[in-house]
Amino acid sequence: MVISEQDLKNLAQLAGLALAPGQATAARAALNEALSLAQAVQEGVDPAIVPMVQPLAGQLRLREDVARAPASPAERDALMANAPATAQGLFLVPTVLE
Amino acid sequence: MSQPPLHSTFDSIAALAGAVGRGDVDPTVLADDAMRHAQAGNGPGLFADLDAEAGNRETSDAALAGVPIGIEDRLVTRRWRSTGGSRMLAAYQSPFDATAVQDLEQAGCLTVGKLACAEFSMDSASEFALFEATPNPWDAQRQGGSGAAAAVARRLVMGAVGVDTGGSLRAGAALCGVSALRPGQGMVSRLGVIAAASSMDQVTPVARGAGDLAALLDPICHFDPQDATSLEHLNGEANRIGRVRESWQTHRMAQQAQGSRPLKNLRIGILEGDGDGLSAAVADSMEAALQTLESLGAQRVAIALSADGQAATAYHLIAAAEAASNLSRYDGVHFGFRAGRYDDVHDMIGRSRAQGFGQAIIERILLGTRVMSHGHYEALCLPAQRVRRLLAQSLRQALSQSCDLVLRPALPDTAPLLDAQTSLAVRWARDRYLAAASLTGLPALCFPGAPDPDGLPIGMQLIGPDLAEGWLLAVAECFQDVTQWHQREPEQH
Repeated sequence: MVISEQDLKNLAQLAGLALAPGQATAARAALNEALSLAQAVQEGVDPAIVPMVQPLAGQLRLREDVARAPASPAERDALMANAPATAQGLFLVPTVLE
Repeated sequence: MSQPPLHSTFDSIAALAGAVGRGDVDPTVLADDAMRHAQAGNGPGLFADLDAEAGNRETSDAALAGVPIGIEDRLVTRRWRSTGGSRMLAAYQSPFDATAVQDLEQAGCLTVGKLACAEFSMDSASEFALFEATPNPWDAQRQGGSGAAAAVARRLVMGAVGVDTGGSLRAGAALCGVSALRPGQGMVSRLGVIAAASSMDQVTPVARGAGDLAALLDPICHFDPQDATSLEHLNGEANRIGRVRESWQTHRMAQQAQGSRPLKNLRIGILEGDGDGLSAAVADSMEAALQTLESLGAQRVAIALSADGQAATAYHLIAAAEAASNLSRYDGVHFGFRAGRYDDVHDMIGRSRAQGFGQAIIERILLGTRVMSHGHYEALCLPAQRVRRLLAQSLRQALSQSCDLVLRPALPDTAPLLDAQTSLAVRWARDRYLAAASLTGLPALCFPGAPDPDGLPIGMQLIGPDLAEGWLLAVAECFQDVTQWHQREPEQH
């Protein structure tokens, strides 16, 4: 299960990471080492065992299915204060469609 | 400064709070003194943000009035920026305080500042993190592991609160010679935690000794309707403020009633194979701790756990998968770092993420993406979750049938050098004793045992069943009554 350069490119694309060449080389080596170690997790484990996603299974509650009032202008301003770029109360991104 | 911090002249938070309550100490003087010492004693890997004018200086007659604490930067605060130790969030200003921070301030604590952490508590070497690695208070050439633990060890604060995911705060406590209690999952609100691995992130207090941990844990241990993972009840018991304190006090009274053998009938489980791979100093410290517990009336029993040998591997796969999902929110659009140059919106997102995250986090995200991808999910993620199930079942069974509490080392050796180059295999192996509590959601208390011959701290870890936080505190405090390792103080560098 060796990660090729193409495998890494595919993974980086899935993960939304535009890696510089040096980052990609280091990440590929680290990933191969991790996946080599990861093989041990399969040893001697009965596939009939039900996987445990988290320790609170069966005890979590669902939030009531009710609509929340939209944020007030003051709340919106507070929430958007950390955005890298905004305009007229909207998040600003580069042009998507010409 | 020639004089030690005023708060450090008190043996415990209870002693300090008592003096404030009686009017023996002016909390305003205490606050000014704590701020001055925090500023003078600050250094690499300690306070990330410290502003003498910004701390909570309100005085009150609350139980913890004037007790100076630090907040690890995995918890969001309105007063200070909240970074998670990542350049991605270097300028992030939260519009609200984490529930645990609110709770401790309402209890009267003086919040001195934000404490440094590794990037999302994952890049232990801090090579690419926002903050420098934390030097060890006992040997500045070695790793301290956690700004929260180091600040408590150096007496800059009486306690701290942060987030333990795979054991970062328990490991930091072990390396620095202080105590940390990771409560059971669902017992403390995680509202305001900067998420890394959601099924394992847990708010955790750090302090010198068990009594101080009880003082800090009780106000934050309660149901929070704003956190979907917060439990209202567990096994029929309400999750409410006072539960931990009452349980701790009940166990302490029961111990006192047993006279010279306060831990009589307590069965301490020791895992077969736990001694393999320990350094000689940690093995000696572990045996000394067991002998101390036996001298107090406890008895040791051998136990075995299914899949414990695969726990660290399972932890790293699950944590990577959850981190890949959690960290997908950082896209350079809504908040956080945005790259300076890009071609289009997809390039902007990709460059922002590649430049905003450190290399260790990028590698975790790639591993998690692989683990969660078609074909590999069945080969890696599901087996890891099966290991988690096996371990949880066998640990709970051991705690209900064979023993009362489990004692393990926290780490296999003492603090590594700051510039130590270690392989991934060695780094994963170091997590083998910490992973069980993270995976199973059971409470675990880390406390200092006998140090190594050079004085470097060594940490022990007690793991208990659900709702055992008060019991763990009482047993650790009983141990600390006779050992006093938690009161050791490093020379100030």
